[in-house]
Amino acid sequence: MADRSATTVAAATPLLRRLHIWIGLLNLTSLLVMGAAGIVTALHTSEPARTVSTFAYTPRPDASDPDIANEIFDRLHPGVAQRPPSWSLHRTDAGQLTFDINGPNTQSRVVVDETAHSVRVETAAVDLGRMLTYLHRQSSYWAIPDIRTRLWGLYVDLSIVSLLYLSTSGIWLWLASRPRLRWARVAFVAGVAAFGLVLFGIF
Amino acid sequence: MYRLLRNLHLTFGLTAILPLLLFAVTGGLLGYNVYNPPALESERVLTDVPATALASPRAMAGWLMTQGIRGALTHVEQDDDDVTLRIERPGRAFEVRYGTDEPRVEVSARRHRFLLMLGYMHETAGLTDPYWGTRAWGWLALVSSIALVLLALSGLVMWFQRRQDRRTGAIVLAAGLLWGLGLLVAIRLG
Repeated sequence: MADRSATTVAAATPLLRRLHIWIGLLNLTSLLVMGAAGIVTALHTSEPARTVSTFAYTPRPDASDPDIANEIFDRLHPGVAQRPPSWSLHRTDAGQLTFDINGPNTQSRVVVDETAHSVRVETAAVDLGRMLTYLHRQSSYWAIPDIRTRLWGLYVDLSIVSLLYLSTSGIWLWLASRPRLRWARVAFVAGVAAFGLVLFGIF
Repeated sequence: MYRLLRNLHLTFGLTAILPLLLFAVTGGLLGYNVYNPPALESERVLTDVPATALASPRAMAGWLMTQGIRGALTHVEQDDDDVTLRIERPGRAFEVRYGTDEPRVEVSARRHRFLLMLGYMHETAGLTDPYWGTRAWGWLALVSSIALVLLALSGLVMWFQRRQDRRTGAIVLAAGLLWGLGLLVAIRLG
């Protein structure tokens, strides 16, 4: 019985290793993006630089708030960005319409002042780190309706499943090939202990 | 060289294995909005509060830590003798109400289920959080993110050193780069 198990492990390990390599190569970009997003989120504490621009605008008399938001979105040409959904539109106490335009390359707050016939757009600079952080969250479920972000969303979907496979097959490959390696044992125990301590603190 | 890299790759992976599994599982939950059970709410009254705890909101928060109400003190509101505090950690929030003239504290707790709490951890940076547990998670998440980058890079170098996997691997890598890096560039330029 033990021999049979050992034979099964020995037969499965080369296949699992090869899959581990191929899946890692296919997901190289997303693994780097996810790692970079984690580093950026932890270390990027400063507020981004903001620029403000204004332009004249008078809405059509029969325009609804979503119509106004869509007109301004089209006029701003924000590139790959989420068209403001109707639930995100707000009116201030002064009656100004406000909404956000967000995307991997843009983060803008728009304020429409109908009495002054003007629109104020406050735009935050989106550097590469913020762009990667934004994109690492964009699964196919949340993807902006644009062919590039839809395809990226599928890549993120794949990378989530792949990270699960890479983690579990990594454990298998360790136990099947070098279970007695001291470095590995120390790293595993240290990692589990650190995670256990954190869970104790948070749970 | 290959042997050293292989051991380093294994060491990075095993050190960060649990946070990486957390990121993968909660990435699936957050990425598809599939798990949103309501938070569990409960009330609790603490009596015999020591006079030292009533001296200031921070002193109260410090004493509450010893009663299992742990987290960062994120909000303080004082109206004459009535004080309201908010204490938070990922997936947990407590609203604490008390009067400075009596040794009695009311606590409303809002607690998310375990999996959702892990989801909150995924979204918490935490390096500068006042609460040690959240801060410790911030450091572990940072170390795991660095480990993920090192895993990807060391894996790439190791693959290249394995002659038998070079051809198929190159096709897979090219497909992945076209899909991933190609789209990143297209989106950035978009």
